[in-house]
Amino acid sequence: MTNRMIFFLLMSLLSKRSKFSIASFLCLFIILTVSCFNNSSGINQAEKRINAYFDRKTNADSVFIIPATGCSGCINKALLFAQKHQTGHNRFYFVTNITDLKLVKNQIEIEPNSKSNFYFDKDNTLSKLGYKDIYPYLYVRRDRILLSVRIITPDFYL
Amino acid sequence: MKEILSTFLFVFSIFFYSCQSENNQVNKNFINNDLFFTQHYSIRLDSLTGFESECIQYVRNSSVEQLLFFYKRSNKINFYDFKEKKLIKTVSFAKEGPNGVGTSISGFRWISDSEIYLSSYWEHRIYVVDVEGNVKKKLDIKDDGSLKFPVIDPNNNRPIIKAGNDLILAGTLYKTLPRNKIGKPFVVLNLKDGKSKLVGQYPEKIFKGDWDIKDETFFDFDELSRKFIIAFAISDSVMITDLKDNSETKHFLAKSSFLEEIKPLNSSYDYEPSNSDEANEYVLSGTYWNIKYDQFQKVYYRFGILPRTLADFQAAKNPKFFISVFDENFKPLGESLLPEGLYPPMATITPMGLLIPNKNAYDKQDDFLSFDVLTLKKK
Repeated sequence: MTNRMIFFLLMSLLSKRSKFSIASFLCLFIILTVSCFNNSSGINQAEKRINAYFDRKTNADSVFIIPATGCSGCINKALLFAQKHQTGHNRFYFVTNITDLKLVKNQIEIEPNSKSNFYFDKDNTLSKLGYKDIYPYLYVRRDRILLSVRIITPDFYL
Repeated sequence: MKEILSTFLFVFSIFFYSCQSENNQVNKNFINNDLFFTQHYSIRLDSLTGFESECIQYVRNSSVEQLLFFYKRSNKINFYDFKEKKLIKTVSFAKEGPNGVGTSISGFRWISDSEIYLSSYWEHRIYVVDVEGNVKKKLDIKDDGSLKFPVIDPNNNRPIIKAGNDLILAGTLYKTLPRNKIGKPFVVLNLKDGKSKLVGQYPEKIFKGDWDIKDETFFDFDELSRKFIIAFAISDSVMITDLKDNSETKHFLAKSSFLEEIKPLNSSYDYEPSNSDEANEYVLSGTYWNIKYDQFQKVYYRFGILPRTLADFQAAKNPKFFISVFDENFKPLGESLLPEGLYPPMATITPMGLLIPNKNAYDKQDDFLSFDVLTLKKK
């Protein structure tokens, strides 16, 4: 729900012609506030730390975390997507949980440091910051502010 | 005065012994040079081959010594000339089609170039293939629908053994269950009639609670005596058996000073950890790992993983392994921590010695797979 929509909704409720009482208004206000609060708390501390770390690497709005080990179907699809869309602007690919860099390089056909929107996390820094998952993730940001974190399963791209 | 003196002595002894044990730990924190000679051996890897092979076999093929490496990720076996350190051939197996073997082959056994057994994890199926990649036969391991059959998952430390017309495989438990619901750890598959049966026995300890993912079965096979050497990850003891008569099974203590007694996560079978940290701490608390019988030096090697802290795990630190050596009567000959980078799950016995690959060396130069080759100095 956009801010403009919320504003018009509140104004219509407050207008004299409205049958809604002040109590209804307060109730709605609380629901909206709580829902907004839940939205922001949906991003956990580890994700905030990871996003802060991404700030040092990129300004991109879409940051993909692709673990090299884990759900093999999800990872293969994410790597294929990264390979196909490697030149796409505003996308950054962060490959982590690397146990064998040679195999990752072979699969994605990209050398480390050869593309500015790819980073190979050879030291597994993300793990130290709290990323422990076996699935790829997409960090959706705007002006570096983290809006949402989405898990990427094989049907994500459909 | 006496009280003060005794308090002082008590505190002093605590400090003294704590320092002693710390020193011992420090001294054990590298390969024991009194126990082993260390040499190095390496093979050149092609551009498509990585570090980890899930199953390795040393064989003599027409008098040529070979090292065979199976790679799950690429469904292939690389054949190396052991002495020349050269790749002889790569056999790739199709995933689909008439010669398809699927995507979940976990282990293999080479008998000859025309008789290789592949075990499929998800299909519960054995494929008999040749070095051309042709599927010659398929055999399904039919369980009875209960959880009594183990999860069959052959690998470098749970090989597939062929004995006469039987194929013998081992696996892990689906989960810890009461005694009457648990079967036996080994599956014998008759290659002629395709029927399978369960044999062997779990250690008594398995019935004492929930072991989470520590209920691993490891074994090696002595070709000469036709005996199985079985080591469960949770047990201080090992078993030597022909898997035919349980009353003939011999039990030996094969404990390491690096590990405390391994206890279950909980005494309840259906225990759910309260949070992920509880489960992680249990898994990180150390365990025994694979066992190898060295038919050339007539000794047993038992490996284990040292306990790690949650902080180590969160900092993505690699686990540390140790090795214990026993003679043929399981008399301890010594033990040592292994240097960081050595990876015992891929340990292999050869006439040259015990080969353990070095991941750190590979990370520096990924065109080669380098091994530390350990040989005993004395028995």
